Amino acid sequence: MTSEKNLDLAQRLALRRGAPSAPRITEVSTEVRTNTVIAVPTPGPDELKYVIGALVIEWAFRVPFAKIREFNSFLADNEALIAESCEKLMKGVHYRGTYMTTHGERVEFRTYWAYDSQAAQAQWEIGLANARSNFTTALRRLRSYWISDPNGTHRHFAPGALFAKDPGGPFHGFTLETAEQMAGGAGPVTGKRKARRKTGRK
Amino acid sequence: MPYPNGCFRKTPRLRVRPLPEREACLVYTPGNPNLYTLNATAWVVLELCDGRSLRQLEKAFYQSVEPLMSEQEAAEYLLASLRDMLEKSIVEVVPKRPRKALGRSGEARLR
Repeated sequence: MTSEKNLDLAQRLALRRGAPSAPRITEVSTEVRTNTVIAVPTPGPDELKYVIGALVIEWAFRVPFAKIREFNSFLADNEALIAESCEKLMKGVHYRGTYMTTHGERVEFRTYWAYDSQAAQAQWEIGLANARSNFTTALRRLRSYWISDPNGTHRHFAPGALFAKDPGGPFHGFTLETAEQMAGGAGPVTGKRKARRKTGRK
Repeated sequence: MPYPNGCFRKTPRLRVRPLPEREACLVYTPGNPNLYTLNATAWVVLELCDGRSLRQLEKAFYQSVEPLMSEQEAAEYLLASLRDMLEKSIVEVVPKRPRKALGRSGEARLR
């Protein structure tokens, strides 16, 4: 909508009820809903050296049977390029391969990305800066297979040990405390419970 | 108003989304990230801030609301809106453009 149309609309609305009401500008309180997002702590330099990454992202997707050979050829031709480009262009971003199920179910692929920290995801701005590079072209094609599967999933994982000190952000911490309280465990002691402890009442 | 020689305009990259059903608009200020609701009166003032001087704004705003408001009442509403919008980084004051840059009806067009 152009500014002129906005002005006409605003003017019409301002006069709709007679004399315009006093101007009012109110801040909208925004609510960031992060209930299901767990903040991943960054491990120290000597911590968790055995893990795949401080953050692992998994893409799970199916490829039509008619395209499986084509996709495997694409991987054979491009995976080394993708993996080495990640190391060269970005800090803390690693391609860990695309895997095909080999037993017991319909063929499915899973691609794994490892990050040294949650913040390392921002490195993609650098990695993808050149829209025509061989890396971006290969990555676009890899991602296109995931996009083509309407049931494809994208999951984030982090080593459980990372959350021993920091539960994963205030809301997740709150959720865990609530659950522990409900189970009669080590949740935070509320005012009522403190009072009961003092008086010995149950 | 301490800006006798300035022109008023929306801050860069400001986002305005009309909410006609609520007789208001939503404004997002990316420079100083915040979301605001402007009622229709404040919205009129905002839309008039396209590089006009205070004098030009007074005239244009009065034209928008007359004859339902007097010139003085309109000026009061205008000043209240401008103060609030400046404080919230919704509009900004920029120096006046040279005379040759003025568009029709003598209004400064800064964009």
